[in-house]
Amino acid sequence: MPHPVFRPPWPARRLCGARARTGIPAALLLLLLYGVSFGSDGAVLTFTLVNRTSYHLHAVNNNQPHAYLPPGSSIQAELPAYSSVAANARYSPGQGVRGEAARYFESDCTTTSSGTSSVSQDCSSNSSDGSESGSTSSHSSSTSCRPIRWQVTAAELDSSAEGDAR
Amino acid sequence: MNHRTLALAILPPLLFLPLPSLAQEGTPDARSSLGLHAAYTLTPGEWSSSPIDKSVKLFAGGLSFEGDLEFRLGPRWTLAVAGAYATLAGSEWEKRAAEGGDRIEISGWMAHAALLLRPHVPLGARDMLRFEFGPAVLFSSGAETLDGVAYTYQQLPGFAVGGTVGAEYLHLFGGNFALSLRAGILFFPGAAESAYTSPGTILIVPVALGLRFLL
Repeated sequence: MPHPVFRPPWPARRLCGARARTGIPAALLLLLLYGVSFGSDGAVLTFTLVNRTSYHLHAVNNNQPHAYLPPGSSIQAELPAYSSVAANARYSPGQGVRGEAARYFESDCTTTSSGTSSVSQDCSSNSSDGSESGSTSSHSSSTSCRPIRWQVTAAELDSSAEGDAR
Repeated sequence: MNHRTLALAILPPLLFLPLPSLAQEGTPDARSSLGLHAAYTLTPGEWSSSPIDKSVKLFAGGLSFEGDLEFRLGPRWTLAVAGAYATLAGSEWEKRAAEGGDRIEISGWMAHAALLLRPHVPLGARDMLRFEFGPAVLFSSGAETLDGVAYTYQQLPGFAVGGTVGAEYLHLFGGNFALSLRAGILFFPGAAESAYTSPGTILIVPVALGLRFLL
C-alpha cells in the first residue's frame, strides 16, 4: 500500500480493463497528432529573390522589405515549412524607371514518417497494489521542402509598367 | 614650418610624457564636470551615400546633441561617460528621387555612447586643450517610405562597436563654467553591412559647441 502522500490522485487501475482498450488507441492518436504538429523537425522553406535586372530593386517578401537590392544580387529568407510566399519587386526610386511585379508561391513540402510507437501496461491481477507502467518509443518524421527561387527580370517589371500606362 | 605643422609635431609626443610635469604655475587642473553640447554631425564616406548615385547623400548629417559626465582621475586626466543623439537627414536623396517622379520619405537616427579617457594639456591660466579616446557603441535605425511601404535600411546597424578620438578646447570663465569647442571622429569598422552589400566603415564627425559645468 503506498504511503498516502505518494498516492496518485486518480484511481490506481483506471486504465485497466475496458477503459484501457480505449486508452491505448487514444494514446496512439495523440502520438500521431504530435508527429503531424511538431514532427517537421525544424525544416525550413528557402526563398531566394534574385535581381536579374540592370537596376537596383526594392523588394518585399512576406512583409520583409529590402531596399536598393543591387543588380545581380539576391536576398534569401528561411521560412517555416509549409509557408506560402508573397513577394513583390519594383525598381528602386531615383533611377528614372518604373515597374513592379508581384508573385505568390505555394510551398512544395513533403513529410515522411517512420518508426513505431507503443504503449504497454501491466494490468495483471497481482498489480492490485496500483502499480502500472507505460512506455513509448521510436517515432520520427522528417520534412523537406523544395527551395523557391524568383529571378526578377526587367521584362516582368516592364510589363506591369506598360499595363499601368494603358 | 607653420604653426599647424608645429602643433602636429609637438602635441603627440607630449601625450606620452608624464602629464603632471607639464603643469605650470597658475594653470587649471583637470576637474570633474558635466558637458552639454549642440553639434553639427558630418557623415563622410560611402556608407552614407545613395547606393544609386554616390554623389548624393542618403544620410546627411545634421544637428545633434551631446552630453557627458567626466570624473577626475588626476591633475591631468579625466574619465568620461558620453552619449549623443543625431537625426539623419535624407532630404538630398528625397529631392533627387522626386526629380524622377518618385516620392519617398526618409527617416533615420543614430545614437552613440562612449567611455573616454581624456588627457589634459593646459594652454594658459584660463585655457585648456584636452584629447580623448576610447571605445564607443552605436545604435541606429532608418527607413524609407515609398507608396506606403517602409523599407528598413539594412546598412544602418541596430548595434555596432567601434571607437572614437577627438579633441576639445576649453576656455574657463567664472569659477565653475567653461566654454567648450570640440570635434571628434567616431568609427565603426564593418558596421555598414547588409545582406547584399560588402561591409563598410561608418564614420561620424561631430563638431560641437557647448558649455561645461565644473563640479
